Amino acid sequence: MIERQKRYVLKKVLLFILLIVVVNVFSQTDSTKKIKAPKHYFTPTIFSDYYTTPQKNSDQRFRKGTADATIRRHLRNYQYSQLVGGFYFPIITKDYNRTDGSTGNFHLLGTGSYMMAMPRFGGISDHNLLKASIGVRGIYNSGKKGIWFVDVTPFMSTDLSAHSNTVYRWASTVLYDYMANPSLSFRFGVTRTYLLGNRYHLPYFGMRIGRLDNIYVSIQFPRNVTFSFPMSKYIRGSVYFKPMGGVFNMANNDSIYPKSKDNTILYGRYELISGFRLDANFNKHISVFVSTGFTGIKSLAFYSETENKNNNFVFRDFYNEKISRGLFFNVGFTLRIGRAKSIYNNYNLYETFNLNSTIDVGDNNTNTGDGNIPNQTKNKEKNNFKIKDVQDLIEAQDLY
Amino acid sequence: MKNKRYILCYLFVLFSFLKLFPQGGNKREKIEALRVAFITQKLNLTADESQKFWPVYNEYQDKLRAARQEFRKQSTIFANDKEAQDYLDAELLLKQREFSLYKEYYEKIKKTIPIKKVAELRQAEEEFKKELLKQLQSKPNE
Repeated sequence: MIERQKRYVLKKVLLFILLIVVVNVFSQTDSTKKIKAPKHYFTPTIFSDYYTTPQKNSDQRFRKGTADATIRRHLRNYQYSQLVGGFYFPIITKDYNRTDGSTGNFHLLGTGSYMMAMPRFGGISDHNLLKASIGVRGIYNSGKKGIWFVDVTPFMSTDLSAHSNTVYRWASTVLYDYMANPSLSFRFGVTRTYLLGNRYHLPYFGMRIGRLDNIYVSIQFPRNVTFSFPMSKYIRGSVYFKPMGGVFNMANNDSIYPKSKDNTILYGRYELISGFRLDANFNKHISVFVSTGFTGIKSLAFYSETENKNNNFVFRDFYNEKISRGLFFNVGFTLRIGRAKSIYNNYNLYETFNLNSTIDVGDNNTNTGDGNIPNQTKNKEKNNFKIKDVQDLIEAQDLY
Repeated sequence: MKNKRYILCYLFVLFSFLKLFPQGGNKREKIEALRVAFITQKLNLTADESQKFWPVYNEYQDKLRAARQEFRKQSTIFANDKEAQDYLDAELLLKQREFSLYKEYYEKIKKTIPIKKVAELRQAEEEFKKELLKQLQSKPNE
């Protein structure tokens, strides 16, 4: 039964990827047939991310004889890892050349993600919780000061390890980005997110000081706080805080929720992590990152499905506990396929790319990084510009 | 134990991808980046000029590059007169395209930066081209 369910999900995912490839191949066709210049600024992008924390015991003690204490005893220790895969691809890109000389553009992207959450409790069977999303996002860059961003991510959640219900939910973000200049931007908006281990409707506030191709500090509530700096032309380091979490459907085959005969409960997790991340952008097509640090606040909760059936806002939990702090390890890669329009020194587009990576596909708060924003070379290098640096790279036909 | 296995599998996939893709970026990307740095330095654009100029200039360069790449698909070994004629026609078409792009984007660029800087841009492009060719000539034969 479970095998059949797994095969079904895999088949659907493969079918969807095939559809994306076909749609994308056709969307690349140049309608003018004159000059086949790249059509989009965003290229079809695939990313993956693996995150893990070591096994931990609960710090929290519940009063003996209570339902909480019984569940705690039942669960024993806790360990968590997750594997995320996702993609986005451009569907429509439209440029607006205005009479005042400015160039605005609109980007419609198709998005999809696949997340396998793997919570491991010492006292109950293993659960592999699937969350898969397909969505769209639209970004309008006015070419002046403002950028609008709208993302809608419907997703499904189910437990692949045991029979459970499949539920469909959605996350969304709408925001306005005001870029005062390349070194200062503000973002305001609203977001419906499950990042904090529950369903929240939150205001979005963001501020960035410093240029995206150089050193910058970015505060993006509720997404992250980041200090990012180029370490070389291809490597970027960052120190950050960010929440990680979600709400997943989980089979109640271990009778965690004894009050009713629900075959499915909701598992919510939330961690506030702080760490250091190294992004290596080997070229325009591939970036990899490794990151490690500490999980600060860390908690998990269980929610009854039936009790929250008519609840459209924050889920009411029947169990909630804090987990002791620990280390985490995170590694990932991003592949960008095909050619894109050039974006050199176009800071509005740098901001657009950063918006797209900050509000990740699938509401998992994984970050694909800004590998397509070239790190700023130092002024010193610019002044001492020597062509001999590239003499081995020149092919006359490549130039003129 | 299982966790370690996951990490190892993940790292294996990751490094396989790294092997698939060439490192260090391709040659054109590097040269393009250097040209942008060269022009930035020469033109000394204000923030407002820069915001308007670069999207238009990038678009111009993309179209120019695409036209040249299309031309390079032509074979340079001619088996008969027809193939030689096709090559010459393609070359003529390229020249026409280059000129019409130049004309179109000259008008567009004029709206983004002062005319003096448009003239300096042409000079900077020529200077960059000369520098590159000079380096090519001075490159020892291997």
